[in-house]
Amino acid sequence: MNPFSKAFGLSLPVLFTYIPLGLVFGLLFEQAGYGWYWAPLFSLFVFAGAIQFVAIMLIAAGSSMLGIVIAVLPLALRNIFYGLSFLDRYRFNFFTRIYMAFGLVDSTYSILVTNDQLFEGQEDKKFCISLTVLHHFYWVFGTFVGALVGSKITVPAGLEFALTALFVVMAIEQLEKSKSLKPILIAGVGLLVAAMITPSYLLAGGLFISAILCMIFPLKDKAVVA
Amino acid sequence: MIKPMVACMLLSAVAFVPRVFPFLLGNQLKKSVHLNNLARSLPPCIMLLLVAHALQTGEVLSYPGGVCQVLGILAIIVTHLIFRKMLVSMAVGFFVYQALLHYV
Repeated sequence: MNPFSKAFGLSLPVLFTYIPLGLVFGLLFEQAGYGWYWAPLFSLFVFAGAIQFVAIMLIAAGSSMLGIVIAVLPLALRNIFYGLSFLDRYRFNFFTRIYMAFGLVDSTYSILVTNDQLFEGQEDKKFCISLTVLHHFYWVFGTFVGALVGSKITVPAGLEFALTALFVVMAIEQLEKSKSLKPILIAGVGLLVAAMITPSYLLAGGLFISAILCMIFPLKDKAVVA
Repeated sequence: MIKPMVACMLLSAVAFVPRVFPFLLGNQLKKSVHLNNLARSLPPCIMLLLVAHALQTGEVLSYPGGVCQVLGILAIIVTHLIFRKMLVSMAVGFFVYQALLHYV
């Protein structure tokens, strides 16, 4: 199977989620009083669903730009850990590497970090690029359609569960690779502590606490299949 | 009204900088034992946290939506442990969730 075909197949759950979510974002943006073209531009240059949704809600509520940046900063900071798993794998020219780093969103990270042995060398690079570009395209396209005709479309309920399903399968595969129940304990403790300290930013808080715990209680090297 | 160009550029920077940060420090990061431990140990934790985040976003404690999500996830886990086919497991879980959501 060629890298693009494999990437496309793996990206299908993301397609089912990003298109409807993008539709909603495009519609919200257009309803906030901006021209239809701004929503896809945001999606193209920001490519961060959580940040975009929080931003548009705060913009519609009349918040200042400073307030919006402060509100979305924790959402953005959680992505700081993703690149650690790709320092060696993302051996591209400068501009491609920058784009690939920019494209390391939740869904791209979860699929690539779990499927790191499907291809090697140049084929793996094509696989990584294909997946990143596909996810980016789905998000921008969904936003574009939402901004243009969103008010005329009824999005079926529950489509976003496709992304949850993807994360569950990736979690199972990652746990099997780790050959340890430690990640469950660490993530659980991270979530509990984050629920007490940063309840509004559960994921970001949970990630930072889990990162600290991972440095203190790392997985054994031999436990991970290379 | 906030100027959209300003908002777009600022938010793009906010999203972009954390993602590209590890790559800017690449060589120094590779020398750090702690950060190597992190790179090895964090991915499964991140996946579990993403599942928890997706459940929270979908209001796991709500009824019937939350119950449908939990049952859908259980269907995924069982199917994946038996068949080991990613898209099959996701499809089964997705359809279980949709069926419960619409018909229960």
